[in-house]
Amino acid sequence: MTAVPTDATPKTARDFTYIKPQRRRLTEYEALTAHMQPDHRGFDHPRGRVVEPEWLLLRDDGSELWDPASTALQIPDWYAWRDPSQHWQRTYVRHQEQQEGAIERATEDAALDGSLAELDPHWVRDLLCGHYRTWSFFEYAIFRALAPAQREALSDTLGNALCFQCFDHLRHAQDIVCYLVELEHHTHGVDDALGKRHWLEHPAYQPARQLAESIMACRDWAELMLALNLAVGPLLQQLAVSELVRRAALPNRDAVAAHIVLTSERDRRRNLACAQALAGLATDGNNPHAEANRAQIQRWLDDWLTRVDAVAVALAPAFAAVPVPATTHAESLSRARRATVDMLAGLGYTAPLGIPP
Amino acid sequence: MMLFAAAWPMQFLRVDPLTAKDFDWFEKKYPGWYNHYGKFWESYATMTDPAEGRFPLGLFESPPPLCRVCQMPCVFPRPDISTARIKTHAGRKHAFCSDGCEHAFRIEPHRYARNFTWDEHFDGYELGDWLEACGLLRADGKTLLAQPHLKRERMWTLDDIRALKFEIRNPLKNLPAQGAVEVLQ
Repeated sequence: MTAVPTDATPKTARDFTYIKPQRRRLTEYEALTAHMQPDHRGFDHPRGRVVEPEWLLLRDDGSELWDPASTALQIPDWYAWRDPSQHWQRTYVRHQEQQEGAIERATEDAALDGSLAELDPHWVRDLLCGHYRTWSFFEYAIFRALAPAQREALSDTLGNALCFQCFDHLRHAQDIVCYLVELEHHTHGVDDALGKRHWLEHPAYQPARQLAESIMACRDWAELMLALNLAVGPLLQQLAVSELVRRAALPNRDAVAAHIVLTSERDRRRNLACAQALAGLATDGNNPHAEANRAQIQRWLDDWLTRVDAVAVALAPAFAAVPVPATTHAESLSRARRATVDMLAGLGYTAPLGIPP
Repeated sequence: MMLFAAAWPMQFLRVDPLTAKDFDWFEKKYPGWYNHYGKFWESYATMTDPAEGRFPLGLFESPPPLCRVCQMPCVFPRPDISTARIKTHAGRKHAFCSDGCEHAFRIEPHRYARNFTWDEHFDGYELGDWLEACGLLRADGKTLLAQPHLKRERMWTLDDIRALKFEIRNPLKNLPAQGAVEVLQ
């Protein structure tokens, strides 16, 4: 417990004195998020830690309800982490509802003004069904991987942010499918089985499938949070969704696909800020494990970026499927690599991508 | 409810003493109630004033142990005819309040390996020290959050509690075990 509730301060009895605000005043987000989790390390012990913490009940395998060994990072007080976007359930749901509402109206308007019917069937079949749809499987894998990660996260503030990110990916996966369902009413190019066939058989997607499996096999929740947002998002999803679909959408007269990707990019920026805040907390000067954490994060980035880059390199055939190309695979890959290297350099990390920072 | 009231400084709820009207109501609804419970509530009423310097739990020779599984005092169905039993397992003594709780333990004893009851934790603490360590005080730093009544004018303070010289004791330490838990495989 960090606050001192026994001090004769003029605080009213309803102030949450057990939550230490990050800034001067407790925010609504902090009051609704921090110390909701019944973890003795967070708050269920007398001031001064006079007793050894314990659990009323252990898990079936004998481990604690929250296990410090669930991540290789070491942070004395995980509850000090704050979501930079300050989201709690209502603000998150409201924000995503607005994004979904915007997509729904854009799709409806594009259907009514005839622009969906005017889409090039090659764009719809080869690019949207054959490639964009394939990434909904990848997004779903991230969603499934983040669900257990949020359970293991060592504070409620982190767990909530992982939960929100988890649903960002499910939202994007479903938006892709919903858009294709709508397109079926307006064009003849839709082949929904193609995306799955590519995911299972196309040589360009087998490295991505392997990466999806290693994401789901990752048992370290903090590694997952950092790898997804500092490596997979900025390098692979930037290339495979932003560069491939969003950049090419307007030359191919598809405003709706561009809009869907824009909303997923907005989520990605929010989640990147969360991962940056976690990396910052792990390597904070007051943390005695800062150096070990920095070395651990660098090892993770080296490992993940090497694999993610190989997946990105394999995606060249996807760029060849765009009817009116806006960019080449080589150009897009080099842009995504450059942005990733610069972003990581800002955090003090290097990237094994063959580009100097 | 009697144990909640008797251990009022450790509780989050406040129990106001019963009035003559309450006594009549209970006796009418539950004939014979007074013989079992009347004396306790009469003396509870006298002990709510800090000037009296008494505290109901302090009058017990040994408070009932807390159940390893449900963490409630072993007083069910009634303190004088409780189904409590004390057993050993893996070198530790465990109190169980009932067949049900003992059964839960027998199925998966490993899940209770790091489970300690409140009085095991704080065995040997002076009550005032414990309240202070846990921060169970109001904003003035001396008035207790818990109170044995709903009156606002004379509330118990840390000094009143310290004057009781009450030490938290783990009753399980001195109670004999009645054999080992038979673990179900």
